[in-house]
Amino acid sequence: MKCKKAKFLCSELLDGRLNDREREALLSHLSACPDCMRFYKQAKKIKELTSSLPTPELSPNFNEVVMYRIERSKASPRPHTIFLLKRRFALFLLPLIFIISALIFVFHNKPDESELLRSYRREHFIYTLQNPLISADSAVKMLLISSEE
Amino acid sequence: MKKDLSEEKDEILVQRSKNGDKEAFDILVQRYRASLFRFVYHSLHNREDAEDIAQEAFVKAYLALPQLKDNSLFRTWLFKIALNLIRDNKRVEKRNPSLSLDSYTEGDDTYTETEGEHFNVEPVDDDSELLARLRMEITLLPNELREVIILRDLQGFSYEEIAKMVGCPVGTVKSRLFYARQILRERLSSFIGDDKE
Repeated sequence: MKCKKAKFLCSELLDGRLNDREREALLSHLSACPDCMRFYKQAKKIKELTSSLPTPELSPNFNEVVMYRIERSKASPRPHTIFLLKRRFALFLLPLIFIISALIFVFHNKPDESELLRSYRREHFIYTLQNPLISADSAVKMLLISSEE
Repeated sequence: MKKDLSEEKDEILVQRSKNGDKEAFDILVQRYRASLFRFVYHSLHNREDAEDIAQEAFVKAYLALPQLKDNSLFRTWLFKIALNLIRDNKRVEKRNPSLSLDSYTEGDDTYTETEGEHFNVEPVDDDSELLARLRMEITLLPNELREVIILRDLQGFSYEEIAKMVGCPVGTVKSRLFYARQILRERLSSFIGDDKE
């Protein structure tokens, strides 16, 4: 086993994560390698010290403050919640406004049938006037007939 | 004979809390407040902020209890909430460096020695002084290394629990723990000395 791997496994040995085979191999290496053994002992010492780091005392009214804050949060939704609700509402509302606007635009600008018909007759009349095979009188008659229809 | 509520398992207390039993949640707060505060305190190193965040974590947990599917995972879930609050706090510190004790290590993705003030290199016999130095060196670790070392060595969470909380694979937890321990050992080896175990 190389020292680099042995040092990596030392970390797992400290946490009891090695199986029997890995453990045996590592212990065998440690007994033969003073540098890795030193690494292991120092790492072990640091782990022990870390687990015993002192922590200040909590305030005696910690629980009361928690329960008070819960009550306060339930009574009035926090700004964060309001923001999220607003955002969800906006995400829903914006596409809806867009769709409604698009529908209004399409239907509002749609030409009605009589307008289309008048446009068609106008174009047809111009065409008949320009056609050398059709006389102007015939063109006017055709326009009058189609208007009566 | 009716069992005392304070002796009930987490699953039962969480279920009762979900049904609106404040007394049950109060017992959960009582049960985990010290370890949660310990976790937050050693992550932030500010007593007032730590207490505020620990309380906020309980409040958030209570309000989000209906979202907790497996009641037996309450402890891990609570610590994950606290971890997110700690990360938020660190982000605020990053934006306002004057508020941060360890701001100059923020954003350092490499696991190299921090360029900062270090202590006189001489072995110490008194564990209390060594503890103070260790505490400072943990504070100076990059966030992702500090998180795993505190969750593992201070709180005793398993690798799998840490992976869930931190949001990374178990293999990453292993390597982060290794790097964290290696950095701490390098920085403190002079104080520990060769003979100490």
